[in-house]
Amino acid sequence: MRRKADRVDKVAAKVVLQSYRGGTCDESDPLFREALAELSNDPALAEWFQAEQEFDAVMAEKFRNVPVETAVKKRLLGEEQPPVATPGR
Amino acid sequence: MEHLKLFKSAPRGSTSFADFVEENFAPAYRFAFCLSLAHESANHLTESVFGQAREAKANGANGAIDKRWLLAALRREWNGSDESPVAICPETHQSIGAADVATLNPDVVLETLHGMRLERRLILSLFYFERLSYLEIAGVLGLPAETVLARLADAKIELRQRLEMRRTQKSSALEPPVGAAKGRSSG
Repeated sequence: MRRKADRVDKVAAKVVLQSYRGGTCDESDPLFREALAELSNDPALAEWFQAEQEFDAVMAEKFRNVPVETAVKKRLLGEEQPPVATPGR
Repeated sequence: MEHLKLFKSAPRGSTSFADFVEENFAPAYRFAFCLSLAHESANHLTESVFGQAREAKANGANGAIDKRWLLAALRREWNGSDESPVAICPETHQSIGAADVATLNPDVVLETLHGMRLERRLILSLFYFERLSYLEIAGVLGLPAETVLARLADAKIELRQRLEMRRTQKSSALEPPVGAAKGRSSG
């Protein structure tokens, strides 16, 4: 029975830790503190978590490269005239 | 009401529309682009939602119009435009590692994200693009925090599997068609 309970705890910890981001208010969230405490008892879970954090860092970097077009922003700020309307739009 | 405290917002009535645009345009645009994967649609969505924000502010709702409001409004605007992505079987696919993701073109990552169901794409966009916490995402999407935790975990697993599929498809496309060569030699 204990083994099954451990597995459930590990699954639950993984679900919670997938949302964790270090250096933010997550560090003081009791939900994450509890899940992070599991890492010191489970090397495999700690290794999984490390890989997960690395994946998140790479993904965030990929998304940061999305260019932001500024024509609409300029229009909203009154710095540019709206484009001429085209048929079918 | 708790989620309203999660975003920093200026004191009621003190933020001009120009300041609001300066502060929030880039995250709103990136989120819109992530939803639509097209600059034309992202422009249309952001212009429409900022137009709503300007109107609401003019009508005295200044304090309620913040980044959370913008993201939620973008989500509503895009809701009717979801397509039917190809489903994958979770048990049969490997997950990609960080080192392999790093080698992928950002466009491939975005296209992969765009192939996912809207509810998962939304959560991933808010988590990676906007770097929101699960509580903030719950506020934007109007979902219980527990639901966000579960959906984010599932969405990340699916994303890693889809990225691995893209990576291996790309690799196999460069290799000679082994099966086809065998077929010819036996015939």
